Amino acid sequence: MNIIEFRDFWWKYESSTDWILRGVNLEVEEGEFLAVTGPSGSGKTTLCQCLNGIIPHSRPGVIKGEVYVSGIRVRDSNVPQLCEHVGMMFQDPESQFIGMSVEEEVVFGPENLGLSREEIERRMLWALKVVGMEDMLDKAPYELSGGQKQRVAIASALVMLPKILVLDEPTSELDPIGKSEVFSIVSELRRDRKMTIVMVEHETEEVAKYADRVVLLREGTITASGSTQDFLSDVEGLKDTGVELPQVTRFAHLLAQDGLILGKLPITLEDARDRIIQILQNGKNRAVRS
Amino acid sequence: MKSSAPPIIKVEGLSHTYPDGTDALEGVNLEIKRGEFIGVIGQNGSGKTTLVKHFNGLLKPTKGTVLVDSVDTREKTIAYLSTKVGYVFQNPDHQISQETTEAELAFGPRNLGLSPAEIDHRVKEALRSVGIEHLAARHPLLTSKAERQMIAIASILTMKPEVIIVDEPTTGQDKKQSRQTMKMLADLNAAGHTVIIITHDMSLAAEYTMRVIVFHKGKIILDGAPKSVFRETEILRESGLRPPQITRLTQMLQPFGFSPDVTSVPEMYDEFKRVYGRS
Amino acid sequence: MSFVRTFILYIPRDSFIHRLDPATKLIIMLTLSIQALVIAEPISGAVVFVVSMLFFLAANLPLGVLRATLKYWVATMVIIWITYTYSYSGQGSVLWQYGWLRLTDYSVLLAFTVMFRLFSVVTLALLLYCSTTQRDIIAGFRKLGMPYLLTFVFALAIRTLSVLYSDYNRIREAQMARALEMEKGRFFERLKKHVYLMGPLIVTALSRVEAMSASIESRAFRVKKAGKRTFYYVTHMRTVDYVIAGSLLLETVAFLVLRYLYGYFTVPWLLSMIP
Repeated sequence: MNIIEFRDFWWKYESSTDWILRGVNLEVEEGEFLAVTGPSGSGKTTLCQCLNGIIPHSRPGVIKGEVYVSGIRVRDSNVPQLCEHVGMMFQDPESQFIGMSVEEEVVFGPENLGLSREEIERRMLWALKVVGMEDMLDKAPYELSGGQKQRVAIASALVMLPKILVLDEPTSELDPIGKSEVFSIVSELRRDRKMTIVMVEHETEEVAKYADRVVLLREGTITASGSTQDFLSDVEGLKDTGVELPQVTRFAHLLAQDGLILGKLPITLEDARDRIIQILQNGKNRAVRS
Repeated sequence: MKSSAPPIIKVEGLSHTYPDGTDALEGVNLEIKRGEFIGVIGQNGSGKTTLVKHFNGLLKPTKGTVLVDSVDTREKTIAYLSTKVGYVFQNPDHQISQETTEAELAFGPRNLGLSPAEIDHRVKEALRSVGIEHLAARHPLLTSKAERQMIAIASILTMKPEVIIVDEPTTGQDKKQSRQTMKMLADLNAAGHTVIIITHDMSLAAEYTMRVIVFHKGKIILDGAPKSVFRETEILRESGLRPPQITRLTQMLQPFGFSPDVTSVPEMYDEFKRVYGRS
Repeated sequence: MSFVRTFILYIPRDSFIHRLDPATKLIIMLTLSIQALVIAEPISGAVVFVVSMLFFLAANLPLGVLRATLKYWVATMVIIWITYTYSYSGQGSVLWQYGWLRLTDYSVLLAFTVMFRLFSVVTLALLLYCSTTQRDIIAGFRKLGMPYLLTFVFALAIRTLSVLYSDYNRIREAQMARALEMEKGRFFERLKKHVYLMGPLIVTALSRVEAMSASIESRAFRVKKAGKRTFYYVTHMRTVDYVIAGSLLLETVAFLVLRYLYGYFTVPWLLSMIP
């Protein structure tokens, strides 16, 4: 069942002359982990904002086509209603933080939803535990590092317990291990709570490990789409697109050009290791036999 | 290399405590030689930005000394030091204040009080070396994010500093733009500039830098060539860091004869051929 | 944390005042301020000031806070005195005259009254802001009936200014790194240099505002039914809170009756009290 559908969707801000999104067609199944990649300025953030109705309801502009979220026609709905289905986290952690403490920040959403105080407390503590910030309830934003603020932003989206979690570059401020943690957290949520994940990300190493599908957005339109395995192993197809493939894939590509690797290229570290070991052992066997 | 020349930057026993009491740096010792290309790595709050701000005098040491070109930074103004050490901030939007790119590039030299002829000459030179001549008359805010980054770097180049520091040179850029930026920095390094980049991207540091300095909680915990730094996986992990993916692959394949010192894809390819050819 | 950076004056202390409910503290501040502002003679004015100071001291707050504002108090005093020597309302007997500058006994008494008014109000405001966290102040206002939208906007403004202030610093550093010498030059020259900070600041501010509004909207914020939302953070009034708040409110009512119906606490009343 498709929980998100874009049908030939076009969008232009009132103030701009160019269309930002051009004929976007996209279907996302419930429970899927979709990664959205593409150069900056290609419309990824705009695409995200279509999912909770900020576009078209809060931004003046011209719209064509349809977006359906959780069966609701976005044009007919409004942002608060869509927020019951979609939790969103944006790029810049500093600008997102509107409260004066971590606790205040995370309870803001549930408060707006009108949940009971017990429910709010339960969710807040859970969300902060998930991102590892449960000891920092009273900290003010100026006391937090960029990475910590980013975790709080993730928690603020999680706490809405949405069916669809949209994350716009959620790891930009985090160090490599932090990035990995976010992906694994999000993946667990998808498994345990059947959340659909839409994540805008450049980090292909982690995307390769966790995402189900990847789409490439360029100049407002989806130019490539496929399962993570298919998408990331298409080295030739992605050559001039600006997508940085995982190093192991690029390495495997060189081996494939020498005929040493057959079939789909490995996209994860573990996969690559296994394939290399296999090649070495096959080579050894052949050497022994001959 | 010019190993006998005095270091362009020398840091001795540097500690820095912010006015609100946080200790950002503790007893840091460091020497940077002319012509090095250095990557400074560490988590947010590890002290890397604090350190680098001492190089152009934006911060002065609470304890210890910082010598830039053998001059104590405490004795000089930021304006003076900006002619020795150029600092390109992470967000180019924080400095764009003129209506054309040309004027933006001229901003620094104008503040230095140089002659119009000299300013003009420097602006043209910078536009050329960064490859943005076509943007000369354009309003900087009407350019793409990557172009703005180039403008920011060019506007520091017009100050003609010997040392160039770039904070996160490739954030928000795609592969092509990143390569462009890094190639430009590599060219500047080849032309004699000392280049320091602050980054999270381990593979970037591996590919372009000759020396990596890792910060953790205000102290330098690792300092050396990328290959030797990436071997210290345990220490790196404590700082939330890990070697580039290709290095981790080769480390996993060590029992099969792979060298742990691979830090780029072409190197891995060569290493594989070596191991495969042997078996 | 510096005040300028965060606009927060809160000084954590273990005191009776700190433990009071914020609504109570607001009532203390409002009732005493009303009385201070309505009193028209200096003796009662001084009494209110002393009471305000006692509350301030009861909060264990360092006098340094008042001392920091001392120069503004002195400046205000001087201005008040100068104003009163100029304005001549024709009342009272002249004490001193030089040309058309004159001081009457009335004007002297009123000058002192105004002085004490200001001192009291400042002390009470500082008492509130230093002994109460921002979150509590807002919760207190809401408890006293201020609409949520107003308190929300207020809190947001503080956060925004805080963020913009650190942006301003970053912009300043970026320009200083290009040899813009902010410290050099005469006053007007230095002021002019701020122009180079305004462009980037405005651009940054606009994008901040855009991002903040998206962040707020994405969490189901409704302007129309704003007040119907759940409020997670609530404070509870204890008996002592009710006692203090109640007594002060009653006292204020009594005070206002005496002041406006019976003319107490005015200069004529004061003069009539002197035997």
